[in-house]
Amino acid sequence: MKKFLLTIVLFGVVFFIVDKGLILLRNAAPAKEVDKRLEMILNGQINADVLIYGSSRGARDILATQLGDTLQRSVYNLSYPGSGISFHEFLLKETLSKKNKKPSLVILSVDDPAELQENTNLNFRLDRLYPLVKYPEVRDVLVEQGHKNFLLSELFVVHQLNISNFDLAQKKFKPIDTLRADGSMPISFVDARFSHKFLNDTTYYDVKKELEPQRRSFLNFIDICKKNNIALLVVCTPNFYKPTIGFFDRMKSLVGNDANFMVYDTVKNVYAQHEEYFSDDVHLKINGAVIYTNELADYIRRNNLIK
Amino acid sequence: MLFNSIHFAIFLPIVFVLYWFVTNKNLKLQNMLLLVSSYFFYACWDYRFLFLLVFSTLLDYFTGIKMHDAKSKAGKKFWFWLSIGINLGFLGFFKYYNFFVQSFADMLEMTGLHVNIWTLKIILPVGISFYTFHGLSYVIDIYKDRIKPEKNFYEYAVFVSFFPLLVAGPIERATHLLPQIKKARHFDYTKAVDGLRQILWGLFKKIVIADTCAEYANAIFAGSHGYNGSTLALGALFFTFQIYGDFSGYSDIALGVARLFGIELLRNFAFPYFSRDIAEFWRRWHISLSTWFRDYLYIPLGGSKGGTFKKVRNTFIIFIVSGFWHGANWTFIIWGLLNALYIMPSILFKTNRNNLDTVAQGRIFPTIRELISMVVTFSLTVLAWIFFRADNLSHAMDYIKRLFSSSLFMMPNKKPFLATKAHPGVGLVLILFFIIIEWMGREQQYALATLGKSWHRTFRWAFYYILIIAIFLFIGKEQQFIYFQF
Repeated sequence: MKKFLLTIVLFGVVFFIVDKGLILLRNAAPAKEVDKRLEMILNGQINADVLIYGSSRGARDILATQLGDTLQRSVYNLSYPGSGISFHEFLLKETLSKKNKKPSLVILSVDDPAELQENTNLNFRLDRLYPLVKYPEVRDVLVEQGHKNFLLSELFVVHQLNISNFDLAQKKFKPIDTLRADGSMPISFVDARFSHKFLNDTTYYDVKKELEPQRRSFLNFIDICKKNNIALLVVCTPNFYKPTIGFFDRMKSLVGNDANFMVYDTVKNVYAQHEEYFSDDVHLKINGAVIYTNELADYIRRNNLIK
Repeated sequence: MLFNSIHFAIFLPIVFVLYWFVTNKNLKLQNMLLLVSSYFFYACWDYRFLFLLVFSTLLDYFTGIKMHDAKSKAGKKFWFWLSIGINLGFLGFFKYYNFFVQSFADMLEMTGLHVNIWTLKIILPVGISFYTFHGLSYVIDIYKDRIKPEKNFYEYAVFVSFFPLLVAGPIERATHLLPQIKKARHFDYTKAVDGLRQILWGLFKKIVIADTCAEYANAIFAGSHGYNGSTLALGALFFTFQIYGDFSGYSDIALGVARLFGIELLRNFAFPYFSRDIAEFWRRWHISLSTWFRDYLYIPLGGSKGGTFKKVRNTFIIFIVSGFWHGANWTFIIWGLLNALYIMPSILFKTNRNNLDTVAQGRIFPTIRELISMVVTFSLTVLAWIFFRADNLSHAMDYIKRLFSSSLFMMPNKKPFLATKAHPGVGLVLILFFIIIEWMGREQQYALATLGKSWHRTFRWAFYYILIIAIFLFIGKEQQFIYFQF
């Protein structure tokens, strides 16, 4: 028994040393990343009057610098392709809890019709979190999301990591995800999968398909803005298909009637005539994004959303 | 309390220390400790069902004694059928009541009669299929005069509820486990280290292989109507490794934990995916259940005696019953039926005992013939697992129809993998690593039994650390073991 216990202790001590050695790996990961926006949030380095949250539609279709120039305010885009509302909620919470400048306006880009429904394209971007596990806030959210265990995460460095942390290569942007200094990710090419044909089918929004966690996150997002006295503008960027009937009404009903919470219905049929503005069915090319950003700036000014 | 939970990681060392340091001098105390810890372990799931376990234990304990003491054959028969009836009654009620009521209503519906059925929201007590079969084998063995009833209740209760095997087997026999419980146990360094090694390999199988494969398989099966054939083939493949990693991983942990307490449990898996025919597969998959059905159903039905018809009939019966044992769903029954069909050629041509040895014994690589046999057997198994995993029969049929379409040769869809933790390539690399290690250890009791034993301690430990690091990397939410639902 003595030999057994000694072996166990020795094995455990060596493992403890190996585990603590992994701190080097964990702490080296952020420097390998090319998209530093989340780390900037965590370090309190976001300094803008207007912040944009959303998925790829928000990232590609809203040009932060152009919007800022028009509004004479600083604007930063925190939209992440492939991200869903729960991730946006997390980003907003972190932005406000750190020493970042409190924005006076938050723009939330929502996806018609998938925003609150089951959609594998809108996720909690774990791949953005794992390189930053050296930050306790990131570890906490991984535990909260059920991807890591609290006790194990506190005790063992290895449990904080993901297999991607073992990739020590310097990350590079894919052509489609090139990030501008203002956080926007416009694109100038046409996707090979683009149908080039405006989809005129009438589809109806089904509230029953909404998922409770998504709905909760959406309402939390609104609530956080309200509590922090931040104007919120919910927008839906143009698509190359007929808007889903009922989607806007649903968004409006969730946002409520508060003057600071408005839904800007930008889906106009004029876009249907101009396939040259689109990269694919759901994203604008940079020329379309320029026009759309101007419309957005006009709307913000007209409604006096920035005090 | 799951084997892959923090709670178990705390529970196990406490019981281990109490067992070897506090109660080590007294067998009665050791058994009492095992019993109390087993009941605590079970109560962690749902304390309400603890009474059912205790009742089942008491029932078989007393009917066993009564049967043995019965002066007449009729008396013996009475106690025997009382025990069988109550045991199967509980199992039938908790597991099959809704299934039978629903199926009856569906049948009437087909004849044009509409009935308002009365189904119940029944919670299935965890492990009921396993401990019921434990008890049944004990009672049948006494009835058949193969064993004498156990007079010591505590020892019998430990046999039924020993926590490593309580919720998902292996399904033990009184002849194998009871003598070990009755005998004084002394700490054995080699056995204990071996137990830890088997636990490590079991955890790796469950957390790294099964849970990772489960993510991919769940995503693909959930949206199977929208994916091409190659994606569905991947889904079936991932489920094939999920269920093996999950169940054999559980069994490895159970065997390893029992060994820490000086008890050897029955082996449940013997590298089934390296089988060269379906008969061999069934000698290597869930061995404790297969042998249970062989001994308590197939042989009493006449076994292979009495001509081809009887042999075929009995084979179909045990496979269908085995499918039904897994759950109250037609998918399991079809899965059993399909396996019965698979095994038929070897029954009819009497080749079912052709492959009794281990494939490529003493060699590194298999022959081309062996390789082809393994691939064919494996493919048939993968196909059958689709029924096992599908939500219902129409889901399974639709899955298979889409799988065997021209899109089988297209690139897999990306969509089901977008929401998963890791790239599907990671899953495939893990499966490859897993197959290699299993292949290297296929002549042993479990893959790591001797692997690395001859290496220098530095390399051996480095290998164990790699496995542990992988476990820590992949462990997330505590995932249930598939067989807990049975």
